[in-house]
Amino acid sequence: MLRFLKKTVFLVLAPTLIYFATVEYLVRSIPNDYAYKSQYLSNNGKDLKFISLGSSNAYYGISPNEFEFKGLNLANVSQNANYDLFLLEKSISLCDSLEYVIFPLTYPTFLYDLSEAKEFWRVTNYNLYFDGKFKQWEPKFHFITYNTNLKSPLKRIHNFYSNGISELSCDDKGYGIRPDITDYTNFSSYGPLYSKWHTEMYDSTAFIENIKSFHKIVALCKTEKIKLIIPYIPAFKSYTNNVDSTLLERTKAPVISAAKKHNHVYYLDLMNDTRFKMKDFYDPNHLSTKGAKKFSEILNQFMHKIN
Amino acid sequence: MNIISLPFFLFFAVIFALYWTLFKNSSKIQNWLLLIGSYAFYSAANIKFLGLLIGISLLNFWLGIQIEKAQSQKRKKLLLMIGVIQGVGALLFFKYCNFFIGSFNRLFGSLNINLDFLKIIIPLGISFFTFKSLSYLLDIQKGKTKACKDWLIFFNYLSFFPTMLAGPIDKSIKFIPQLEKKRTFEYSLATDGMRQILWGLFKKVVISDNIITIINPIFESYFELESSTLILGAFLYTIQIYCDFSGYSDIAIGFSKLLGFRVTKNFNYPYFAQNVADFWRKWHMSLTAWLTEYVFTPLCIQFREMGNVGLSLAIIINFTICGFWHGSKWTFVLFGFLHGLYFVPLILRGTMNKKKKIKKDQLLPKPIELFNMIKTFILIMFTFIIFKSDRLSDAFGYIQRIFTTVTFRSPQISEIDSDLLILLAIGIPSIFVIEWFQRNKEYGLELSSIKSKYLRWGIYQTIILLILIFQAKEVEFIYQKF
Repeated sequence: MLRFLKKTVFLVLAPTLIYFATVEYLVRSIPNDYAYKSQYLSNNGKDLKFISLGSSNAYYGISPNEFEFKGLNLANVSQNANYDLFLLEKSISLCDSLEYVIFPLTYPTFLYDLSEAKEFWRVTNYNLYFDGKFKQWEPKFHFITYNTNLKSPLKRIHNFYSNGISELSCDDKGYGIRPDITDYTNFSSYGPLYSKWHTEMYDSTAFIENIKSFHKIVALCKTEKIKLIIPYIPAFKSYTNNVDSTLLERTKAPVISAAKKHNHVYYLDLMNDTRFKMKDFYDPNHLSTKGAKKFSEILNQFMHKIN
Repeated sequence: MNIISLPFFLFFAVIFALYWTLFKNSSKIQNWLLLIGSYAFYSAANIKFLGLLIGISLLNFWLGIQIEKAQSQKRKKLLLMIGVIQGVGALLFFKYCNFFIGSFNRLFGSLNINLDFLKIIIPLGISFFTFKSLSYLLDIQKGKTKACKDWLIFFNYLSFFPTMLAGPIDKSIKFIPQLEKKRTFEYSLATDGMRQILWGLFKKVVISDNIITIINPIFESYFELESSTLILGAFLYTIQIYCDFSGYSDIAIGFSKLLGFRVTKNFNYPYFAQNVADFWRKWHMSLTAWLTEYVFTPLCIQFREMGNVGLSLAIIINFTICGFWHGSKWTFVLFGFLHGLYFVPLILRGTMNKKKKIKKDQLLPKPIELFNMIKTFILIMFTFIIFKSDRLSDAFGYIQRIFTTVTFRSPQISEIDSDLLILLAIGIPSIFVIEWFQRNKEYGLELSSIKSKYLRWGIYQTIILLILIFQAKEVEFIYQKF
């Protein structure tokens, strides 16, 4: 028995653990947005005047470099209100002079829970790089290598350590960078597809939890005397015309109500803002570089106005 | 709980540790541990049916004793009938209720009659534990085995967790004595089990689960594709189902060996078969043996006066039942029926029972052997198109397009990772080559003939690495559904 156990440990368990531990360590060390933003927050938090939260719409839609205030874009792809709240709490503990929080609203903002969504593996990043405590007993939310075979991490390791390709895709202020598109032919057909896809993500339990997180964000900003700006991010008409109107109203209602009730909450409905033309969009639901610049300038002006 | 998931490995590690340390001196306590483990494992899949499993175990345990005790043949038969009605009835009810509801709905759909509200969930593993209980009662009635007097042992026989969900279907005569005797840890059996698990994992997670990403799109949109792509899809599915099911069997047998049990072999390199009869002697062997003993042989006796016609009839009925056993779809029925039909030429030529054995020490197959292998493989491949299809119309459409869209163009597989194609292009032939050279061994990775332990370890490490690097997303075992 002892001989068998020794052999199993030596030949099977130990090599497997060594493979996993090595790959996990190397892949975690590759520079990425989450690690960068966490580091930035720790090093420069005390100087920040504003942070922006939200999902991919905000990640690619708000460029702090266009603002006159020093800020950081803390939005990440598929980030929902629960994780926004977590990042806000983290920021408040590190930023002494925080005056504004931008909490961008989009149609799917409250509809889903990231840990249950297709991109659940992103939760790992909050646990690894921001010391999050999400789903503490589930290894799939704590180890990058748990959710995949080793092929993909090995490729990433090869890309970074051999070819020097980093996974950092945001600028120095956390704004997402990607090449702009030149072909707009699919805009009208993609709009309904995206809105349908987002509607299908609706999870009633997650919706309630996200609204609770939103109310906590409102309360936290009030306690910390922070102005909470909630802009509805512009979207293209082929998208906005096809969203579920009931769900959209249910998404907007708590925000509008909070803005009416609290002096520190400001709601800006830019969903169908006519200043945004086709070339301001990357796809029917995301802004392009040009659109992000325009949107950031509008927010900057608004912050000046309420200052 | 999937048997190739981390939770299962941890669950098994706990059972294994307790089984061979604290409980090693008492087979009774080991059996208690196994039963608790089996029920916990079954409950993790669906706790709702645990009561059913316990109820079936209890009834069959009691029936076994009563059949043995009964003085008259009439009473024995009556008690056996109760067991058969319960077993076949439960199988028909749970597996085929939805099938009859679906057929009824299609038939009376135009009259707006719909019985969908009566649809039910199928208890996991029901086909496997029902066949075990049926063979147990039949063997007692025929005096081939004695009734088990220890309920703990009998309950373990029906619910032994490594083989519970998808076999192999062990006969009581082979398995119950193993539960009765004292088990001591055998180093060679345990290491053999580990190797077999490793080989099963390789076939399942590296080959089978990766193939799915190619074949599913082909079967879903066969009506848009051309012959070469459809042939590739059928070929890959034939490989996939083998790697999936034989992979599962290797893993199940391997885990059984770790607990000190020798379980019935389920596969014997079926794609080297020389004809369809040979194929069924090598494919899902525990089911074939079961059907041969309890369906085919009684039917042969019944039809013995009809000569070859009777034999053909018996084999067609036998294989149609085999098809129907897989589940409630007409495609399964046709799959079985066709296999039965494939036997008819062999019966007429008198070659059904002639075993064409390839010599043990033969380096390469002879041209005629290779020709037979390819011919048998193609025949099997066409039946697997039917097996894989959801509806008969899809199966016929798929096969029809193979013959009507021949353009001699290379297969069109879109959006497939080139790494995956390379993996399969190397992996699939490797499986064939390895299994060819290992065809006299129980499984492909039985490397006892390699004397250098460093070479053996190197091979194990390479396979572990290949599994870790290329394992695909977790996919349910095909036969777990049956």
